[in-house]
Amino acid sequence: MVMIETKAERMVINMGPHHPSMHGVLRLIVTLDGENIVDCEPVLGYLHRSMEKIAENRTIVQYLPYVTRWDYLATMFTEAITVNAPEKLADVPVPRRASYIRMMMLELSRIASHLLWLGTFIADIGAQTPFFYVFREREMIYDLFEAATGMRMMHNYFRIGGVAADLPYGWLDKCEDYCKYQLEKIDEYERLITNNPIFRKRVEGVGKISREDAINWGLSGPMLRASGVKWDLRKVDHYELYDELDWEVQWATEGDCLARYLVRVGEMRQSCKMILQAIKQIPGGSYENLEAQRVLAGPKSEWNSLDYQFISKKPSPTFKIPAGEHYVRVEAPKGELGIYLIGENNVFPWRWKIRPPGFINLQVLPQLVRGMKIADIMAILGSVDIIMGEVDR
Amino acid sequence: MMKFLSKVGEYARDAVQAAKYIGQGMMVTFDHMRRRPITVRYPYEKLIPSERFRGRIHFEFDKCISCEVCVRVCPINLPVVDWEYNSEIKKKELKSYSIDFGVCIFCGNCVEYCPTNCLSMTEEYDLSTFDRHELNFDNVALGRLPTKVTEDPLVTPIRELAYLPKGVLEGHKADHRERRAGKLPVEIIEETQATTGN
Ligand code: SF4
Ligand code: SF4
Repeated sequence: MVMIETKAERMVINMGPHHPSMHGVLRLIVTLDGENIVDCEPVLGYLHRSMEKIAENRTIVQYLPYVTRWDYLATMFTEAITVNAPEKLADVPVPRRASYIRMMMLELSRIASHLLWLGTFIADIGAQTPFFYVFREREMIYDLFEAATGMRMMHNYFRIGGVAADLPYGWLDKCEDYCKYQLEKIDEYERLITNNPIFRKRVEGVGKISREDAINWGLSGPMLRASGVKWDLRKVDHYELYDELDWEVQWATEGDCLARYLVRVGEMRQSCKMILQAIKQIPGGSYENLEAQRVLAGPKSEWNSLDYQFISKKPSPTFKIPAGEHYVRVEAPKGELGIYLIGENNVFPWRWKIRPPGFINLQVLPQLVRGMKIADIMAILGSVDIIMGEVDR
Repeated sequence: MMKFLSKVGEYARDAVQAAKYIGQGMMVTFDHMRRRPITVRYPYEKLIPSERFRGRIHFEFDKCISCEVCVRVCPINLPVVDWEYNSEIKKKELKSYSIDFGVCIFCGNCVEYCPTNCLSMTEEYDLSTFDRHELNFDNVALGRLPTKVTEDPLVTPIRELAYLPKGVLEGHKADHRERRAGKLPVEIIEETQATTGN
């Protein structure tokens, strides 16, 4: 019998930059040996808008509308870090009420980001239905954002020393409604997805990264936590007032795509619980209650003190960033979002270095996909959760 | 032989498991048959933009003092303030004012920082034109007011989540005139006064 020798040549294929299941404009040059991936090289920069350079000739007030364009799915976090950096440098106090409003907004934003991640991740794997379910719920978060901030995505809500405006009438009631509803819906997603045998086969043991590797690559966020490191900046850095809420860091030890999925779903649950607690604990309660108390107790009452304000002092358009340099960070849904800020007592920052979590998490992709099948690229890339707007800035 | 049988058994167990979980997933899917669609059929139904919605900017010519704060806080220094110093009245005289909405990103900085409140944001969001230069609004165009969704007889207005009554999560389920969530401060004052007895 004649055997046909089949020794395939290695093949280099190009995926993207406009691949239908690619998250934004990312291009992958993949070297294949049959179906197996030998190497993979991400090519970035298609969405580069020189955000760091723009910051160098904008005041903070002018720059704030730009920042929501870094990570346009977790917009509140980019704003939070942009005001935190000069705030910490200039020692601007933040009233407790403002801090609570911020926390609620941040957690809502985290849920929105994880929801969209869930939808696209499952869609990458081949299930389209949950994509529409998550959009339904995400829409509600954006409705809440629109009522409080005026825009669905580009909020421009955080200000140095607080937030731009207090919450509108009835907002807390509706937010509570939403969180309770969302908790039910997360159970529904889990019923739909978690034990689905097709889903399991696609993600279990795929894209594994060990604890040591995760730390060495500088990963953060759910990527790191799914590899067995209990590291959440909300607990580590004690920023805002997260210590006053009762919640747990979500983590897993397997380090595969499934673990990342479970960590993120767990985080959504925790976020809902945190918002529900914050609604109970916010100083002054709802806006309407605060107003009523102010009228009842007169102008000199404690209800007018700093703790019950939504902003300590309205920042002037010529807010000067003091001389000095430092690094601030927040736990964004994708990982550690940081700013390295150098001020020189000018209205413009001298240097504004952004540490985007997506950029750092993306670099591990070649290692994760090596030796896997080509169909796994999408599952792994999906589980890393990148947003190209933030990677390229 | 035993090996073969146990293999078959294992296979069957897997199949049953898979069928069970897929069935569970399908239950969620079928559950949607008794739910209403949440989509808004746009030209016939419209969402009522929120009170803080940042749409096209409204400008009141007579209030403006030509201080150019709006230009300074705008990320791209967009508003064009054309003024001349009038030495007779020792004041700046505004000749024309324009904002190009093809460039504006509706961030609201100019509205927030304008010292005389002559700028405000309307609820107009459908700004499409055939030529982008038509979006360059001068002070006359900036002074126009948009039509309200609730006053348009051809449109069914639908409210967004934050404006629905407590417990209602779908805009279709409540009429837009129904009272929204949250008490008024006056009501809270009355309640506390009733309970404390003064
Ligand atoms: S900030 Fe207001 S008053 Fe000053 S120039 Fe602009 S529109 Fe006129
Ligand atoms: S809304 Fe923003 S971008 Fe538009 S004119 Fe005002 S400050 Fe400039």
